Amino acid sequence: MSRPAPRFALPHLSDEAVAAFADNVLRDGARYRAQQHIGECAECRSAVADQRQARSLLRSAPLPALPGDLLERLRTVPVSAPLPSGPPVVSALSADGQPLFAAFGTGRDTGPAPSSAASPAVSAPASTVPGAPPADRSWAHRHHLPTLGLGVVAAATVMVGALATTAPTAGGGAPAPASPGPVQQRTASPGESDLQAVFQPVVDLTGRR
Amino acid sequence: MTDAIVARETGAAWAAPTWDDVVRQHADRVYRLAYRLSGNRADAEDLTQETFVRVFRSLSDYTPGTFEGWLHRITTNLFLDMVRRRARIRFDALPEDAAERLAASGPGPEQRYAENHLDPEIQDALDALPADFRAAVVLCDLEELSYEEIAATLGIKVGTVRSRIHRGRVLLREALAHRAPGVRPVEAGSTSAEDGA
Repeated sequence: MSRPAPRFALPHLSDEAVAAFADNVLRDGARYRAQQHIGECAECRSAVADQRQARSLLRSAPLPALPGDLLERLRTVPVSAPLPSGPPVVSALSADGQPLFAAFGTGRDTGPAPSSAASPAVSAPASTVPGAPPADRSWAHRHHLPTLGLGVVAAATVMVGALATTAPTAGGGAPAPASPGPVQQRTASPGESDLQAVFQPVVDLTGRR
Repeated sequence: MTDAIVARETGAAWAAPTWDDVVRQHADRVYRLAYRLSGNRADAEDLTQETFVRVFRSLSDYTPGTFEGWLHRITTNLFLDMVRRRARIRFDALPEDAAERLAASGPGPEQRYAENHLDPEIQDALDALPADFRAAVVLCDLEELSYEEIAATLGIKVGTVRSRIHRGRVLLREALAHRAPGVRPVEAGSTSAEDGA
């Protein structure tokens, strides 16, 4: 600041306070004091205005738009992403504490069905040979990482299901089917891809490299 | 995911999202953040893809209700990791004139406009910010996170968030001064004619 505030007047706002006041996040006494000071101090008033101006300039710019082919690559991450070492089961918890499992499979059946071609809805891995990298320039491919080949399945699906079990199974084998918890089935509508939510107690990976 | 919370509170049946749902709901936002941070399409695509790969592989770390915050954290930290990695390479492994050769490696304004119809000046001003300031300002002003959320995302204190935001905005405004109405020239030690008004 170019000159000190007059004695007995409120001190100049710190940089932190200027930003916080500009963003309307100061409360109670701090806010009151800042307001009082700004009423009397043009410098701090300008500093606050500058902060708000920078914010609105930034927000005035057009938003970057997601490239279309990237969306497709993201949708096929489950079949093209490099697998971490360790058990293939990926788990999470639903809002009410139910364990969830993400797995690959056929969706409607209890196990993979042999088929002559991968689902057309899965666009990235054009190759159906297990372990072969996807034909497109996926991120994983460009970085020379091994990927999960889809193998030969009827439909590529990712299932995120709620189970009644309380803990994920240790090890990599498929667990015994548990009694179904809050089970729902949702089949894909004609416009959707074959990626669908199916609740299944069996965790299964097909075509693992 | 707030759907789950709504479902639990209303008693409605909650359907777990498919991977497709997750991507469709969040890909735009992740990409926008990745682009604002990295300043070019190639890096933004890589950051976006890596974010979703990590999401898929780390579902066990996910706590319901904080999904967007989790995404922000992954994307931002991937960006900061990328910056640090490149800084190390630049200084450690390359001949002396390499820094100059690397300097002009980003897309120019024409390409940036053509790629995304973006405002190249604003993106340039962002790119000129040091990465830590850029992350704080982008998370605050574009992603609209609270200071506390930004502190959690970046692993720093709220006070540090405030000062980085403050400084980042000052730098931005200086870079874009020609676009801001009523810009005062900065003169050290001057007294404003408005004092006492």
